[in-house]
Amino acid sequence: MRDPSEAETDMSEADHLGTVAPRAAPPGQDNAWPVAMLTLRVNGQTHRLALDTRTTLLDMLRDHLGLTGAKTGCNQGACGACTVLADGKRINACLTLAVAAQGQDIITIEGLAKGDALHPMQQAFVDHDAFQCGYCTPGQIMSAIACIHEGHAGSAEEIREFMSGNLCRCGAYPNIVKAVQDVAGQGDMRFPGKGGV
Amino acid sequence: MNAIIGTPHPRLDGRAKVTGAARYALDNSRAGLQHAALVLSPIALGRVASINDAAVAGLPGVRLVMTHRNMPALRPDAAMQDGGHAHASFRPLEGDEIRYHGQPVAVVVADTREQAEHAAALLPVRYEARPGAVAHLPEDAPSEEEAGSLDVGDADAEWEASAVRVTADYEEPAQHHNPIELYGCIAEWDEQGGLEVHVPSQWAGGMRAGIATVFGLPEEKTRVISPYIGGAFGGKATVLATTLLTCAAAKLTGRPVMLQVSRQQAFPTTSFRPAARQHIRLGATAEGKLRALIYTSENQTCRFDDVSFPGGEILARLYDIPGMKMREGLVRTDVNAPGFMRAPAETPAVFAFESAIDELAVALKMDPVELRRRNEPARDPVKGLPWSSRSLLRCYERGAELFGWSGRDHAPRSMTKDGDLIGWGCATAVYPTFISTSSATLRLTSEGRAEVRCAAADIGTGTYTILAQIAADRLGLTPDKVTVRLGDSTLDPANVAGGSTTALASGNAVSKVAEQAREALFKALTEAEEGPFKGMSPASLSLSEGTVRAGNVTQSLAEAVSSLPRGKVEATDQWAHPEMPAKQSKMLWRAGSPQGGPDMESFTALAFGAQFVEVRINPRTRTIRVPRMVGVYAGGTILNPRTAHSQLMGGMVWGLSNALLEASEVDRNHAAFANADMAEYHIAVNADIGALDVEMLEERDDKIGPLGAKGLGEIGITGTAPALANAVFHATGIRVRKLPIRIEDILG
Repeated sequence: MRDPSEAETDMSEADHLGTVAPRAAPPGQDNAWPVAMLTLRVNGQTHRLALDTRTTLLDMLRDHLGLTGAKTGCNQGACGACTVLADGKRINACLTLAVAAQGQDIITIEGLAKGDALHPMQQAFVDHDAFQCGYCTPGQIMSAIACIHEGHAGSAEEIREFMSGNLCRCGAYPNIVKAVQDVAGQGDMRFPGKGGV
Repeated sequence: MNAIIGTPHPRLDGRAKVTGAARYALDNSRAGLQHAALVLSPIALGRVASINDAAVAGLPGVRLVMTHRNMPALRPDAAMQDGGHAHASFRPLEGDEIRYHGQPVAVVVADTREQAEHAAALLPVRYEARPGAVAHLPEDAPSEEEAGSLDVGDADAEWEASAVRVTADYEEPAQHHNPIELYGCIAEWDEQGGLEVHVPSQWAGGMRAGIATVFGLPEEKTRVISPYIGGAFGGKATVLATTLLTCAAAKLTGRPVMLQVSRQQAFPTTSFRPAARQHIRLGATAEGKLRALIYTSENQTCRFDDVSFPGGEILARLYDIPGMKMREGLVRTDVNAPGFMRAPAETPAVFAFESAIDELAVALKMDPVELRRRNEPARDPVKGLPWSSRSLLRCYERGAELFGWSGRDHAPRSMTKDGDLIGWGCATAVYPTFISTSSATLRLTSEGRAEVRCAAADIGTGTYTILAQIAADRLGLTPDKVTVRLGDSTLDPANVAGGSTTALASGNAVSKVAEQAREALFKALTEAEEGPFKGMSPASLSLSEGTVRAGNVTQSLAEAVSSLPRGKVEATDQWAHPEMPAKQSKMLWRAGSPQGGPDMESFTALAFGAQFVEVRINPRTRTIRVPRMVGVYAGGTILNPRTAHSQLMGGMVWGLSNALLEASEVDRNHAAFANADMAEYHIAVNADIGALDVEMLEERDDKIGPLGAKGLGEIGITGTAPALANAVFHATGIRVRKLPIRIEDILG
């Protein structure tokens, strides 16, 4: 970054607020960014849609499929609010391009409940008041399910460690740990893995 | 009546939140939606020399490049603290002037977010920079303007006569709220010139008034919708410039526009907790009776508004001190306006003061709990008024018992475990009981249900649930038979969800209209021309378990309401505390948010608590861990112990984060916040939090309103940082007088 005290400074190229301009001219300056035809399997349903290749999995879910349960909190993989399952693994949907998520089974918070019956982890979050504002909650729940499935819910300490990729600004952490312990103790958690819900 | 108030009813919004069905502001994508992206200034002072909007106007999908040259004219609105609704009176894009780093200079609107962000990144802007910008609180800060002052007795004489004295300086950095929900909004103008805004809001009515003012609209043509808020903490109380920019852009494109402010861009464009420095002189007798408090402070603010959060008024209520002198100063810096952030005045002030009290206990070689016991004031030391209720010492007693405080060796560096240094500290938690005003409507329906309508907000605090409990209690229903609608400016006006006021103000309003609806129902049933209650005295009727009763005569509520000519019963009213001046109640929701307290005409009201913290410090790496925290609070009637527990717990978690992690670091070369994202601005994660015990004591308060409930949203954070800092001293013998406390501060 150049010295801003210069009398006149062109600052268009870069600053440190996250709007860093590309060094080279954008591809195909005179026309639109490439659009890809995508096939994605989300919560057991197959979707085909044409999307700008820059679209993240998160924005695709939220803005193009209307699945707004996964939340945007940082767009840099730091907060975990966008956590979804991809072939049974928890991933940050904000760091995954939609084109790269093809061929995987994506499960979002909307894919957990069976009709009116909540998934045991959803019920445990209600029972233990494991949230306040609820914004990080879908990500916490997806992460919590994976945490148990990975075998990382053996103790409160282990749960705290393996749930630390999901930030909660309301400070519900102790209750989140209780909810995860509760479900881990039930032993028969329904896990939405490969093959869909 | 059923005992529903005070039971730990699960959140009524729980299912919506765990299934992803709860719709937050930016979840409302719609057909024809356009996306906005901000271009921020990389200089802190100067002007925009030129913007080559033609360079990006032709890029795919770009519909608008809004700059100061084509921005619609806006009308003024003052900052909320000055009686308006805005976060800041100074607004970007109204001219070419740059007054802080990261100030928006352009808004690019395109068909997709990807297109808008791409074009925004390419927009060529030339600046003329002026040197000399300052975004930090300078070490030699001149406090030329006064933010607050308070005098009790002759503080100088008491100081001179004190046998034991403590003099110390404390410092807190700027901090950012960082709610997990991004700031932003969706704005849409209709063909009749009406404006609808989905924006996370602690104050739908106030935001509507602010937006309507700025765009010259009648309030009834302006609507703010915010049923769910993804964390607010004070940052979503006022109208942000980013909201106005989105509304302006949507006006120009004639289409709905969504702005999602990135995590990085939120640091300069939204609210923050300003940096502060306090200087404390504390004098006492050799027996530990406090005599003097001389307190001065420097509080960071911006150049254009007088936003500051002096804490002296609160500190003066903690202990019996005959001589007090407080002088609080403003320091102007080149930043966007600071704003309310979780216990804005109390968090920094209580850290400094409760650290100083601990320093005094050390100087006196006295148990710090005992020091507080010796200085309990019988009445408000400032106004001489009786307390509405005060249970500080009971909180200490219970907290000490839960924590095992009697096992503490008071000498520093005296306790170890498995080779680690162990420190135990305590501090008082306090928050004033602000008494605000709210209105509500309650309708009884022919389905035997109750509907509550109120423009209050549930920012995660449990408002949906407690209001349903209150209505259910008054109407003999179960809470699931009550529908609560909140967070929409078309509903009955309510106070801002700030200052821990909603439970008290909106709670009393709902209680009042529920009782009115019940009485109206009884009157209508007894005056009806037919029906089982015809001709009876309304006073002989009662309502319980969804049934209207008079002796042996019963009728279900659904049938009773259906039998009435209108098929419903409705009551609308406002609740105001009898000691709230009438003129304050009338100015409700137009200018500012009226608030009484902590001192009213005949009493002073605050909530108190006692916090205890254990730290465990590795003697070589000096890593600080917090294995356990205990907080005991008294907040009058606890409406719902489950949601109240979460509020207090969340406050303590944030308190730890405040004590050990959080600082918005300033790059002094660029007068900019340097760690502007969640990778570098650290907040507590799950692994940072050990055992955490919260207990609420029974406390009766019949002065603050019929419900007797004090607010609990903010008190939880206030005592954590000093208790933790005091524990660090106890473990290491090193007194850290600034936050956050880091390894380098305790190398010894």
